[in-house]
Amino acid sequence: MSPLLLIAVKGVLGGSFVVLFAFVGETLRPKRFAGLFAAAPSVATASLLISGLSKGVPATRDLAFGMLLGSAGMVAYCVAGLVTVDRLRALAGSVTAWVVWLVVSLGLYFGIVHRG
Amino acid sequence: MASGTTGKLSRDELMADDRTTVGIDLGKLEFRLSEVAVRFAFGFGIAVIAGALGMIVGQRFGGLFLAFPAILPATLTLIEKKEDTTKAYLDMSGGVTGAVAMAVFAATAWVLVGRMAAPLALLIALAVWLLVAILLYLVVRATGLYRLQDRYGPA
Repeated sequence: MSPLLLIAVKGVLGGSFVVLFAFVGETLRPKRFAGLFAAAPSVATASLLISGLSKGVPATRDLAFGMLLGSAGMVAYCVAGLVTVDRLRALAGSVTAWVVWLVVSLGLYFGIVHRG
Repeated sequence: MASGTTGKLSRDELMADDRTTVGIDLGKLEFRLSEVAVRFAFGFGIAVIAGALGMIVGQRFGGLFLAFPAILPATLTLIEKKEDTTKAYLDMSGGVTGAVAMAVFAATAWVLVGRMAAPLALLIALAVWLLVAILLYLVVRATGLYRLQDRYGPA
């Protein structure tokens, strides 16, 4: 399968998983518990699955390792988002907090993966 | 604790959320094509970006974006529109716990891929994510850490 087609398949599966996890999250109560699904590995599961089936182990492990670093950024993002959503409301607050994800994730990537 | 607002949040709603029994309300499920389309588009977009970056820069770099919070702004905006800012905040708060579990998912996948078929490895990683997320939520809630976060976090 061509690389571009593989990426498209990841996209379709990733989008479908996001919708599925969102539906599950909507049925849960209370809201904070439902929020667990806001950080569900929906896109990741799709991408890792397609990668595992098509690219093999080394590439998939690298993808998972990158995701591990990105997850640290996600934790920092959500923590920062608690402040920014309160101060700026949902859209502005959640977009502003992206800066935190970028700083933490890219910082870890360049600090760990590209070190020495 | 006095009732009223903290910043844009309702303290009463925050407290009520932590007193609500965990459960499922199938009646809350609504199918709106526009919302499905937005969520699908964001999921599709970030998966394509991660895949493209993986191809161009390297898989580890692409992997970062599997944990990029692309969908959260849309989700929180929809929640705020349907309900209010406090509910959006609560969803983000749950996201902190879910994100810690997401890191455990990534670590599990990293360990298991190569030791077994990818679908099985990911199924186990997903089960681990769910278990860790739920346990962490229950522990944080029972110990009152969420109340601590709400009291000292928001303005």
